[in-house]
Order: sequence, then C-alpha cells, then structure tokens
Amino acid sequence: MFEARLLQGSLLKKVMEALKELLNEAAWDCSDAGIQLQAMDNSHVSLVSLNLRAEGFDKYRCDRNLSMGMNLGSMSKILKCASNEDIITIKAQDNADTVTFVFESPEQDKVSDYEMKLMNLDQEHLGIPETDYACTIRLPSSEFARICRDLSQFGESMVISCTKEGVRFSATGDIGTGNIKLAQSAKVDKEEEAVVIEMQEPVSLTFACRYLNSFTKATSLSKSVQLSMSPEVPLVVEYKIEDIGHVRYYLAPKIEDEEAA
Amino acid sequence: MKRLRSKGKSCVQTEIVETKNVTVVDSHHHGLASKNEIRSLRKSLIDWYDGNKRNLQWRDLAKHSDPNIRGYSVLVSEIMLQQTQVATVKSYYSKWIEKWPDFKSLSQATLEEVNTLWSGLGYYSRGRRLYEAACKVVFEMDGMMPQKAEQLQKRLPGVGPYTAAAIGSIAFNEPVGLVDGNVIRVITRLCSIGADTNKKSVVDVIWKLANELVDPERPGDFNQAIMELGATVCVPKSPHCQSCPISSLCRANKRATHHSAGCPTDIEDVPDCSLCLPIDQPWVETDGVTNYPRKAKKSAAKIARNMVLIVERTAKESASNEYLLWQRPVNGLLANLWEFPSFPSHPWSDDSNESSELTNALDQSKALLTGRAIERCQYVADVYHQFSHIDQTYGVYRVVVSPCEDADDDVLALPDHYQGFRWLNARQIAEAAVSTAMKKVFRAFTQNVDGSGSRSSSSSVKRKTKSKDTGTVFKKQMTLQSFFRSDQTQ
Repeated sequence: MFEARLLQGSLLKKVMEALKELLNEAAWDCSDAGIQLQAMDNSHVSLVSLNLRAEGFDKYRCDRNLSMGMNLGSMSKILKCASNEDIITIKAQDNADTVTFVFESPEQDKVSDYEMKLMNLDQEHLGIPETDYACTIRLPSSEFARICRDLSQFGESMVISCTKEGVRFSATGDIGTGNIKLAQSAKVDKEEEAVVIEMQEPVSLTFACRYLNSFTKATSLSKSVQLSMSPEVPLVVEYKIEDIGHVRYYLAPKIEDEEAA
Repeated sequence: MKRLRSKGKSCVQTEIVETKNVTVVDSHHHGLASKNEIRSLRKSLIDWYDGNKRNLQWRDLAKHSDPNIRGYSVLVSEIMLQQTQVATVKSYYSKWIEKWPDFKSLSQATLEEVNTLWSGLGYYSRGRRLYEAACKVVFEMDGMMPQKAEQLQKRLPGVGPYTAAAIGSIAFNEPVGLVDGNVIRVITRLCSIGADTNKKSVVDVIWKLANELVDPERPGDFNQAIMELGATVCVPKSPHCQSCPISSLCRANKRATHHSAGCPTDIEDVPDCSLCLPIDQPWVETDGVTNYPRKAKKSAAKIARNMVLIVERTAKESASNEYLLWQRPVNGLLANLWEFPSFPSHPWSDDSNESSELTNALDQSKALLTGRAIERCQYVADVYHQFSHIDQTYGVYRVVVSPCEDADDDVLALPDHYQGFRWLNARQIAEAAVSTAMKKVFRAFTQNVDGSGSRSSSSSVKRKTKSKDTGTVFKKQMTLQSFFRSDQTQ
C-alpha cells in the first residue's frame, strides 16, 4: 500500500509543470524515504531528477518499494482538475496497475478522485557521481528565467561564464550578440534576491537555450535557483522545493569537436 | 626470407637474450617465466601479425632492396607516427615519399618546403629534425645511414631510443625491442605491472622486458606485431581479450577471469614490490584487464588566450587583399611557422574586457607598420584550439590599414627572435607553412568578414556590421551518456 498526502496540493501541480515540458513519461519510484523520479528527455541531452522526501508530506506510507510508470500528459490533465487550495493524496496498491489521485477541498465539502492507468516503463537510470563543482551560482529564479528567455532570441546556444567578478550569459546569432552580466550582490537583505557565487576556478561552457528555457518552467517552485558548473561536465540547475525536496536538471554542454594539435 | 648473415648473428643474440632473461624476471609474475612461454609468445604474436597486419605504404617500402631506402622509409614513417594517428599520417607519408623518395632529394629541399608539407601534422620540430637528419646523412656520412640502433640514436637528430630501435629492427633486422605507448599497455598487462608508467624506472623495466621478449629472427615483425596488437586489440578501454592471440599468457587476463569466476589467484600485489599495483590503489574488480597500465594523473592543461590581429591591406594592383604574417622563432612551440601577429591576453578575458590589452597590441603593431595608418579595428570571433598541453583561445580582430603608395616602406620592428614577415593573400595563406590553429583562425575570419577574400579592392572600405557568427566555432551537443554511466542496480 502506498499513500502520500500533501496539504499544499498546488506544489504537485507546480512540479508537474516543471516536468512535462521535457518528459512524456516517467517512473515515480516510491520507497519509505520518499518519492524519486529520474528521467532523460528523448534526445538524452538533459535529465530531470526529482526528490520529494517522506517527511515533507502530511501523511506518507509506503509498505513496499514501487515504481509507477506514468504518462505525464495524462497526469497533467488530472492535476488540472485540482484547485490550487486542494489537498492532494496519491494512492496505489502494492501490485496495482493504476494509481488514484484524491483531491479534497479545504472545507472537505468536495472530494474528487481520479484513477489513472500505469505504464510499464523500461527506463535507463543514470548513476550521477557526487561532484565538487568548480563554480556554484545562486540567483533569483525569476532573473534566470528572464535571462534565458531574453538570450534565446539571439541564438540557439548560450555561453555561461563564471569568474570571480561575476557571471556572464551570452548568446550570438544572426541579429547580433546579447550579453548579460550579473555581479555578486554586495548587500544581502533578502537572501532569495541575492546573487551569490562560489568559485574554485573560472568556468565557461556552452548550452542549448531550448533546454534551459524548459528548466525555467520550475521557476514557480522556488524563489532562487542554483547553477553548478565544472569544465566539460553537465550543468546542474537546482530548484529547492520548500521543506520537501528539490528538482534538479542536468544538461550536457556543447563541446567543440576535438582536433589534435 | 632472411639472409644468412643476419641469421647467424641473431642466433648468438638469442642465447644472450635468453640467459639474461632469468636474471630480470623476479619471483612474482612480472615477466614470462620459462623459455617455452617466451617462444610461444613470439610465435603467437608473429602468426597473428602475418594474418592481421594492416597494409601500409611504409611497410612495403621497409622491404626495399636498398638498405638506405629501407632505413629512410622507416625513419620518415616513424617520425611522422610520433604522437600522430596512422590514419592522419597515411596521406602525408605518400605526399612526402613522392616528393622526397630518399635522403638525397630531401637534403636538397629547403626548410620552408619541409614546413609547408608538414603543415597540419603538428609538432613541427619533427619535420625540421627529419630534414636535418637527411642533410647529415648526405653531407657527413656519404649518404649511408647508420644501421645499428645505438648509432642511429647517437648520430641522427630527432631519433630517440624508440625510433632508433624501430629503424634498427624493421629496416635492418637488428634484434632490439622497443617501447611506445602501445607496447607499454601490452607489456604491463602481459606482466601485471601496476606501477606508475610515467616513472622512468618503470619504463626502464618495460624496455628490459621488450628486449628480452623480442623475436631474434624477425625482430621487426615482432615489434610491429606488439604495437599493432596494442593499437587494435589490446586497446586502452574495453580491450578485445577474446580475440587476443596471447591472452593465455596474459597475467592481467588471468587475474580478471579468476576474479570474475570467484576463484583465488596466485597473482597478488606484494606490498614492497616496485612493479605491483600500489597497495593504496588496489585491483578494481569492474576494471578487469584495464587495471593495467596505471598512470599518475596528469596536471590539467594550461589555459591561454591570445589576441590575433589580422592586418589587412589592399594590394595595389592585384584584386585580392593581403594579410600580414610573421614567422615564429627557430625554437619553441610552432617553431618557424608563419602566423598572424598575436599578443597574449588574460586567460579569462574576452573581447568585452581586453580593450587595454588590445590598445597595447595595436600600439605595438603601429610600430610594426611604419608608413601605414590603422583605419579601423573590429572584433571578429573567438576561436578555440586544443594543443596537447594548452587550451588556447584566440580572440580574432580585423585590423584594416590604409593603402600605402610605396609598398617598400613596410619596415617591421619584429618581436625578439621572430624571423621575418610577409604579406600574403588568402590563397597563399592556404599553401604556406601555417599551423592548424592559425588556419582555423583564418577560416573563422573569412566566414565572418564578407569581402575579405578576393573581391574588388574597394571592399575593404565598406563597413560591415556582421561580426560574431554562430558558425565560427562549431560546437557539438553532447549527450548525458558521455558523462554519466548507466546504473544497472536501479
């Protein structure tokens, strides 16, 4: 028996927004520690990793580990039927081929339930090594969304360069070049509005704007976002989900075709 | 078929080699224990080579009847193959041999011609040394090259222990072993040598082993066989042990198969042994055979940025624009090659924040270009090039200079040790002795600046707004599987 109850049902609606642009389907792996989801987009260029801890739910029970393959398009349709104030409960039997979503209004005067068929998914799971990144950049998530939107008008790739002085985003294309520089915030009155850079060594990497824009669909989950980079490894874009977990996106860089000297 | 003379000699050699063997092989498996094992290794390797060798031009020439042609052909191929892949070398080799079939013709060439043909192959000092070697053979040795590895190494420039042994064994049938990256891999696996192969002491042992193992009758074929095995079967990652002719003798293979079958092995790392895997970095089950060879980590490549000024002038009567190139010093990186004037910048800067460096560079160029005024300077693109030890970025700038009535007044104040300058048009640049990196720079320049090529002379006056372009540096989208491994436990 699996049951997870979330008072703040809107959180799950937002998580759905953060996933469905990149993924058509995904396996939700449930254990007594919580819910985890890891999946690559079809092109295998980016990866989404979602972690929702058991303690973050108002009620959480998972007797046996189970992996629920869900069509995210269908799941999104169902979650659209929930109002933002609703309490959402996800339920499944141990070997069931369906999952049930229950939406309760705050006053308990309306209760709806939706049953959805599960899918058999044979997904590749990647082992992601713990990495000490050369640069981590924390910035307001809305600022990051704005930067990605603005620069994707210029070209399909964006260069993110991080130095001691600050971080620079730039894109180049037919109409010209766009550069956005953010300096470390001098004063930090509100922590979530700060730009904070921690750097061991400067890094400059190129990424496809398209994926970055998809990642920013998670903006509503968190006031700030953290970017982690090291030379020649995938970028990590992390949105914390308050008190309950995080969603992390990994994006493979664009690298120049090597040519021997 | 072997000539009698050499056969007689090599028999004597065999005796020495095999008695020496007993002293070097120590008690725990860093060598082949018995004469039988060594014989079986030689036979398996050479049989395999006879059946599997790739057909390469220099292998045919190495069988030529004239010993000087044999030696020359092997010398050229071995020098070209240093640090360079066979596929790349093939076309350069045939061009070279066609142009200079022997020492005599090469000695009559000029260094400039040699550099031009070598252009694109990298490590340019190799071409120069080859040329110097030819001059030495022709002018100081009456056109007869030495035929013993020891003499070759001592007397020819650019010939180190490896190349000397390769020429000696392949061209002159001298029973000497040799060691290159491929041989290191094969021997460390064969003899379970887990010590750091960047250490000289370890490489010395591998040389000793190579000398013991080499087949006294067909040393050249044995050496090529072991290198070919390393290049095609005993490859760095996922070696094809199933199709390896010597897997039954291979200590690493034995260890890997025993481990995976769960049986105990008689191969264990001895704490104080200078050749075993280090105790703090023991055998890794999942790596199998690729536990060998071990290498200490290299330090990361240096990062550098240079500003490259492409100084453009409108030629007086010809239709195409010309660009200023200068020739690098005789020694050091890219020695003797022609390049666009370049000036160092800070590794992490880019065109938006190197304006003070650029001003300095332009001041220096003004000193170079007496008699001409700089009309304008414009940023074109960034070009990235990976040298083996430097991650180099070039910030490319276009500098248009005013036409000059009297072209002879171009008096250049060159930096120290630089050898000269020339004005070349696009076609001449393509043919000159210019490094791959500079060719990339020029390609980015022509892609980004319209009319830089061979249009009417007025084109240099037109203002172009186009600068950076997406096409400058082609970047390939990687996938996550290049970075993260699939995790089967999930």
